[in-house]
Amino acid sequence: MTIGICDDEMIIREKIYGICTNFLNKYDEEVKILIFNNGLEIGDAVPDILILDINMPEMNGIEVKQKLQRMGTETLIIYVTNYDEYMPLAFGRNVIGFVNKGKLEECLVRNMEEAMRLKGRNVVIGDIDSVNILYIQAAHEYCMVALKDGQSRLVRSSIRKLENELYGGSMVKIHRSYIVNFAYVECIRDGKAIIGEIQLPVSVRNRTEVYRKYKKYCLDNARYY
Amino acid sequence: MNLCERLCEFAGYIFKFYINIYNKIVLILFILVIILILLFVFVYDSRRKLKEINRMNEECIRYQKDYYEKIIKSDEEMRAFRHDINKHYNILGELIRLECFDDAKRYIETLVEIKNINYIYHTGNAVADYIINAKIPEINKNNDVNVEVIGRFPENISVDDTDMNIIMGNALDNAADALKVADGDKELHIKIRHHMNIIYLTVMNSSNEVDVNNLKTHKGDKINHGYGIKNIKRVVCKYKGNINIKYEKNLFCLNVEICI
Repeated sequence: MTIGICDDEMIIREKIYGICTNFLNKYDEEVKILIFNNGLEIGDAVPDILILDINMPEMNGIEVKQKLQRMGTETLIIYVTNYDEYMPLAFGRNVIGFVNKGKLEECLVRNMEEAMRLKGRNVVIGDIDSVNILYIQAAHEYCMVALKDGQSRLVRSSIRKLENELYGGSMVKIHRSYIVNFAYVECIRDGKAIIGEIQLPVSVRNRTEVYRKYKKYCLDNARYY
Repeated sequence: MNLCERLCEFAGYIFKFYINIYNKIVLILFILVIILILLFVFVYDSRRKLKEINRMNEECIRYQKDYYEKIIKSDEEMRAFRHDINKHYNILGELIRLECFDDAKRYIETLVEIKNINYIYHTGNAVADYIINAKIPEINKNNDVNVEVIGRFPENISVDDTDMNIIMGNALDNAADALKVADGDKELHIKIRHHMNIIYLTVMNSSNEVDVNNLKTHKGDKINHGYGIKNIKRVVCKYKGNINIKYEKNLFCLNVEICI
């Protein structure tokens, strides 16, 4: 995992770096911290989490966010700022929080925990990243994996085995033959999980539990769009 | 000697007889006095209890009387309000039909004191923006509240303006009341997030300890207040949503979830 820190003030960069290294001690995962002095320096780097200043010369934090959005990256952004008036422009799909520079110690850790929670879920099945999976359908000793780009792949594994591998993330078993990625479910209605035109059955026995899990997933993943 | 002994014996009997009678009378009198005292205590106690019941009844009647008077008064106020508002709607409707927009605007200005609002916070919803930008300067007039407004409503949400007004207005009114009397550092956070077709509105404010299971109004005018959370609940139900209230670390947190 990579974490980027982008701020034009050295004192703030160092302070954030200190907080991050302290915070990351409790995680086993190997994390690389990248330091950028301004928005331009980021270039084509795509960190998993980016702690980003808003007000910077040449390329400000909002432009950086727009660039990352255009590139279609899944970088989670935590803004650090003194300027609340920029906030309305700074919202975005992957923006998870705003931290006032005066309250870095208290607020940054909270946002980092949230980012680590959101990032720590992706699982790779074969060569497929779970973030790209819409749903998985059991087909005898194989499973059919439907991807968000419309393609589908066959994986030689039982649905039970895949369920165990994917446990804890956004992939949830909703039926004995289906695992669905809640990230793409628009709603669960009349015993069906709806993903665009696709309607997947939810088992009658687990309906309440699936609905409860879906509600919790939505709440945990709601963003400041 | 024999006679003398007999006389003495006789006198002894007489004496014993009288002593016995006297004892019995004293005993009977004593019992009577005890009974009388008990009766007196019993009657006195019953009387006291009856007086207490009577006093409570009188109080109860007085409360009921007050309550009915208030109901009658609020009913009259409501009827007067309905009557007035219909009249205003008719006039405004007519002015708009005749395309006299300036007159309509002036008429509205006479009806309500339209505040000159400086729009600092933009949430993507006109009603929410109006309420937030009107109420936050009032809440933070002493500049002692740390205010944070984060997030934006998605475009074209299917929430009626009146419903948004009820949710935002009541949530911020409650926050303003709690902040007025809160001890220590004061904070107000408004967060608007969404995922798919669900909006999550969080209003979090500093507050002295409250029992979230038994919320009571702190406002003086109890006739017209105390319905804030109830009204929000009513609106939220309409949008198949949920409301969740908690109190943690000196912060009162209202979470509203609505499906759009």
